[in-house]
Amino acid sequence: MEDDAALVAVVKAGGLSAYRALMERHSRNVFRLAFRMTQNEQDAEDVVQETFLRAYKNIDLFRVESSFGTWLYRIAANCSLDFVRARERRRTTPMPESDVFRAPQPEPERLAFSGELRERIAAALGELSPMERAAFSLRHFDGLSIEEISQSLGPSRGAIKNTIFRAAAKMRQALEPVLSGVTR
Amino acid sequence: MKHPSEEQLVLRYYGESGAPGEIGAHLATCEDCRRAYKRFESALNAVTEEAVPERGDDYVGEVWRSLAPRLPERRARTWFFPRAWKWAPALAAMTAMLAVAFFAGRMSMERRVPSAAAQPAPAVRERVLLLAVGDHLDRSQLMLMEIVNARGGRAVDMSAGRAAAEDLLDANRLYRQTAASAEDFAVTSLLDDLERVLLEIAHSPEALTRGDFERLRKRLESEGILFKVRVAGTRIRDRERGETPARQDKL
Repeated sequence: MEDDAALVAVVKAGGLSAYRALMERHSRNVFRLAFRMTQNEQDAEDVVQETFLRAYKNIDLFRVESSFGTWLYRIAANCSLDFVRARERRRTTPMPESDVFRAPQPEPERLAFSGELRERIAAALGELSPMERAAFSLRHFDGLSIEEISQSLGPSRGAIKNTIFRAAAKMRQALEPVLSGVTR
Repeated sequence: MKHPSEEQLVLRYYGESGAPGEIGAHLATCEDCRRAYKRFESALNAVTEEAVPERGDDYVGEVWRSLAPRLPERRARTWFFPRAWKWAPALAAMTAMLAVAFFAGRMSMERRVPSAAAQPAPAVRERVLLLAVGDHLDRSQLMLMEIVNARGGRAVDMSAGRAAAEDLLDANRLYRQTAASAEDFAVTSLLDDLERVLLEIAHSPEALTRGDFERLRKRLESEGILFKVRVAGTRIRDRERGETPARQDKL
């Protein structure tokens, strides 16, 4: 199994098949990040294409001392933000307000709790900004350190800490009513 | 310690707090902060992985088929791009001849002229061989990686790989003989192994069935030739830079 740096060296020398090998390693992770940021399957697919196209065109800028995966994540995060911003500009009618903050609270005993909780989580994640969602997901689901997230997404460590805190506070605000209903 | 901020509590939850001991000690004694931490903890514990749509088995193939036509051609020096590659054999042959000439000259001068002052500096001679072999190993490594990572349907086209292996084979023989004459046994042994692999590729059919190709790939991987070439290349670069000056140290 070749390491990423060796494959990148081959790509730089013109070896197209090595680029496919890099895609096999990273495309699913790029898709996951793109989906979390765009919340849309088709957009995430487009982000994957655009990410690998940009990475290929700029492969000479990649420094072998760094992680190819982190570098690719950064491109994917930027692509995702571009897609979300473009989508926002295209949108002519406002998005429906999230149910999270306006739905009346059902009685706890009538909740199908796990289903309700899942819906709440999905809606709350949908309420986060793309950067909040990306940073929070990378920390919470993928277990990346703040340093790694900073390298992947671009903002400084301090900014990433603050972004994750904002996301965590929003998640708590959205989920507390459900969780406190159970313990009541 | 003063009360930690909510941001510090979240960072503690994720194990990223700069002062976990202090915050832990504070939470043990402060009911309000402990309650605030528990609120974050229970909410974040409840957040399990959201559903990301699964991709199919051929996902990479689908992306690749759509992406490959859009990838701009790179100025290449591998056998995938014949226009750039066509000069490589000539360059390799010239370098090989240069290296051989240096070493042949050294050996003949050693026989005829005992005075060290009349000979080219040994460090210069060795550097020429190192440069030439290092370059040869780089090209061999690229060619082998192209093969190991090659994709195809039922059949894998080997024509370009065969041509590249044939070109490398000539240079490899020259370097191996030169290294043997110079009693550089590690380089000789490596080039001997590489020569067998190059011979096999150079004499493979124009197209291999998927099964035959996988067998070839597995054999290359099990012999570890790519690894050996890479390690040797790295060590040779170190020697070029003078990081391993002793001749007897070799590879």
